[in-house]
Amino acid sequence: MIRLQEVSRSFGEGAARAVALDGINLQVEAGEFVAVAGPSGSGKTSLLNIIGVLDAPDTGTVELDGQDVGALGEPEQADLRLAKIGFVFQRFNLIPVLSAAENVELALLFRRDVSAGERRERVRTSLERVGLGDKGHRRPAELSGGEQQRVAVARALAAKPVVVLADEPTANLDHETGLPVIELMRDLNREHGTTFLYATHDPELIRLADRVIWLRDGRQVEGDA
Amino acid sequence: MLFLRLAVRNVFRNRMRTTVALLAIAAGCAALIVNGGVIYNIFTELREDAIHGRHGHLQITRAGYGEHHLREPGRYLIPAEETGQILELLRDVPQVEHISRQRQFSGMIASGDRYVAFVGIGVDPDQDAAFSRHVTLQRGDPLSSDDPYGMICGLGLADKFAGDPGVVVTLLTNTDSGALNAVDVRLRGVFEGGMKAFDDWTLKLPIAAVEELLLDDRTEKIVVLLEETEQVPVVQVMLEERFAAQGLDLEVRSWRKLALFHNQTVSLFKRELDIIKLIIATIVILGIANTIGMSILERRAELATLRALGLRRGAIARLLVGEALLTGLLGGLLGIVLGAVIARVATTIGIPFPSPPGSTRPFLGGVDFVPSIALSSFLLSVLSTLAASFLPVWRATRRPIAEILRG
Repeated sequence: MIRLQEVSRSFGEGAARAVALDGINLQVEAGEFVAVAGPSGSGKTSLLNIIGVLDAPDTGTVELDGQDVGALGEPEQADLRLAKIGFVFQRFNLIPVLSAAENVELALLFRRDVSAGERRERVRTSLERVGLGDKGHRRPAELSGGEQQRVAVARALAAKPVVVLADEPTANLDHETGLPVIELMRDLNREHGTTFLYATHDPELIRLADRVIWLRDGRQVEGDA
Repeated sequence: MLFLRLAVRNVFRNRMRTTVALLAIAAGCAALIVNGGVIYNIFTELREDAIHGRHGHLQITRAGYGEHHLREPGRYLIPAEETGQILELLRDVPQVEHISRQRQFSGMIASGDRYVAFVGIGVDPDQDAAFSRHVTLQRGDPLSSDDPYGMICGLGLADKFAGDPGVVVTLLTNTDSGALNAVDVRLRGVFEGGMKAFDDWTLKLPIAAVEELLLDDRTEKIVVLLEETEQVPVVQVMLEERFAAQGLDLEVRSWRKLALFHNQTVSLFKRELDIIKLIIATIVILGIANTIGMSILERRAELATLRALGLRRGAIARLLVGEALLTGLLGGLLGIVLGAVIARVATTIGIPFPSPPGSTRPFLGGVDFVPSIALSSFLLSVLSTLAASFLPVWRATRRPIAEILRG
């Protein structure tokens, strides 16, 4: 479902050039619950950005659901993200002026294949799945950090994506709050077969994964390589 | 609806900044309304002055008069029998309110041992007040049909022959055939016409006396005032058709064609108004661009998130331009209210203006609230706000998503 071949990415030029990813080859199948692990600066975020079509590799190819994303133009890449990829960000990235339910609904607004009725239904069920069925009217500032991240998970799930990419989803949460978020993702993966790729360097969270992709200095040191 | 809600909430999320932006737009819009209102007020004053003080709404003359009468004045006069026919026809037009026959002439005033040149206008004495809005009687009485040899003259002219009301003087002139003729007249009153050149040279006399002086009963022009200035085009066409139907070889000219000073002033002020519009639009654009830029910069991560979720650049641009449009609409509406209030207050108090060029009288102006000016100011405010948003919006949608999210 996700296939990366010889993917490299670097930032800066000349002496300031920093290699973020160096010749990454990996494959993730549908329904997998995969952790991308490694120390800070190992290339976890760069890898998720490239899989999530938020960034393009300097070299190599990325295939998502059988589609070579490098061959797509900017509008088609946006459509691909809209239909097939869900994101959970480290800092939640909810829209502060919208309620939890509106935040979830926003991602569906531009889906032509989702009617208004279905949109409302998906918002309701997504919030219920993450245990926030009764807090849909609250704005992010009125929710705890853990609850905000659950809204972000609900937002990612509402689009029924083929993969959810979570970049250090617990980094801004304490251990008590963070662990349940990953457990929630784990449950959703088991119950609904949603594919999850999450970046973390927390050993306890890494242990919950079916498979771990280890990165160090932009290179894959263990896992599929 | 959600997208609209998002735009509305974004506009009001930082109330202080939004208030400042709205005030900037409103101030620009109100400035345009007030400036336009002052100029419109002056235009109206000038127009009414031109109509009721100099030209009337319409002037009926012999065909070709406008172009050739200075070269051959005697050739472009309307015979008495035709004049009667025209007056009868004019009295049948319901929009016509005042009619005055006129005949201009020139000559000398002989008063004791003084001889003073003058420009005279023979008028219908009972109708003259309606055509003399700019004329204020300083001393004595106005023209009267009961006093066929009673004249009035300008302040400057009266000074030249040391004339006070009641004094009898002799008017000397050449007739059309070149003979010298004279008539004794009594000075009834002295007026101030607002323009020095007018006051220094002009006298008015009942037209019957002028005909006696010139030994000529032909009319130079028939000046008409209508109920409303807006009726001019319709009545002009109607009269032209009626005159043609009766075989009268006449030309009907409207005040707009005759009022050269008014026309020049209006085109000068309109150009000035365009420059002011440009300056205010530029100020609004520069001021608002910074505010919109700040707002977008603060929300760059949010906007990048929306793009990450799959919103195309166009959708993000629509959201941001929609927010700018909303800000422009609100600021513009506020500007209209502010402009209307300022116009009302300024008109109530009155704005003292110095004498305009050629005039001797300062005047008290106001600010007219003109719906068409308010609408164009509103639209310009909205367009300026939209223009101000283009660069920040373009920048916001061009940066790579990953780069913004990395912070």
